[in-house]
Amino acid sequence: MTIYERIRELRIAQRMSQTDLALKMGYKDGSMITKIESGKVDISQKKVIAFAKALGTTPAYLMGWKDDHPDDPLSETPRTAEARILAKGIDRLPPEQREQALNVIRAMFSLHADYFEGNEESTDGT
Amino acid sequence: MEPNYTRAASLALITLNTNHITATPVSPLPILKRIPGVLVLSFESVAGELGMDRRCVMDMFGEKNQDAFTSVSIADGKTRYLVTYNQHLPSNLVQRALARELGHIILGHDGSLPEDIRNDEARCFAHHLLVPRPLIHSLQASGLRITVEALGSITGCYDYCLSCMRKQPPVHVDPMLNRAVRDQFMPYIHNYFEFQRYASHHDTSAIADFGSYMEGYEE
Repeated sequence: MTIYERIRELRIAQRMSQTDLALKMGYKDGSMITKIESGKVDISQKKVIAFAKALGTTPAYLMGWKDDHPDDPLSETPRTAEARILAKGIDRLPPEQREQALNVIRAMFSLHADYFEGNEESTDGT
Repeated sequence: MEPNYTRAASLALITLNTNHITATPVSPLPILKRIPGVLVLSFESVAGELGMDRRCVMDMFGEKNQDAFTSVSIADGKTRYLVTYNQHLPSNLVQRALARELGHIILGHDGSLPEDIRNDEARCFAHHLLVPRPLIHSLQASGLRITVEALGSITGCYDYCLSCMRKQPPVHVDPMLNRAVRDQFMPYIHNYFEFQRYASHHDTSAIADFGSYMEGYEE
């Protein structure tokens, strides 16, 4: 299931019209939601987070990494850090897939924030 | 823009020197673990923590069947690295992959260089880390056959590195640095030849290789 299908499915499950969701998202009418749900418009990472909030779910669920969302580590991912991946072929990935990969990496850095802080502190202190 | 092979080779030798590596095969993992702000995880660990399939994690970061890759996070003025690798590969391939990822970190790659350039530089770093040129120079006085046998035996990846080095232009590393690295490996080289002499006069069938001979020697 694509992110567009998940948005549509959640919206319908919550008995929201396209206009309702559009207003929650700050669009002036439902035409943009129509385009998004039909996959005609790409969604930025910022918009994925906004859609997740509007639909009461997590970015990870919308991105399709998880089929359920309780205790999803990806939901706690901070979005402020700049992340880059040095992997073979990463620059040739389609933008959407590259963004998915980056979100996984952001989640891993977030999950291990304590390790990094401890690691840096102990090194500085010795 | 061209890869800076001299810088990559020099930093590989500096890494050997500052980490007091005196024997082969060189293992990049302990070096990686000593660097502040670096976390090394297998694909299996990442998949487990995210509740994803290992194969899915391996394949979603660019090409399929990645052996390893490094990710960089820059926040609050701090640069952190996450090295992820396939622990199910044969150990010599894991060593090569981790040496390359160590290269990305030591060379300060942050994604701003084109992919080809940074990969070429990281590979060059790995070759010089795993098969240090000063080591080759120390051995080559003994003749080509012995050099090849010795390096093949004690580094475990001579053919791989030699073939890669042939594709690269010569690098001009500071002679002082070359000497420093050669000197730190000299006792090990001396022991290798001592073992060869011993083996030529004794039954060494019980000794699997030079490594196990050295373990016994240390005890």
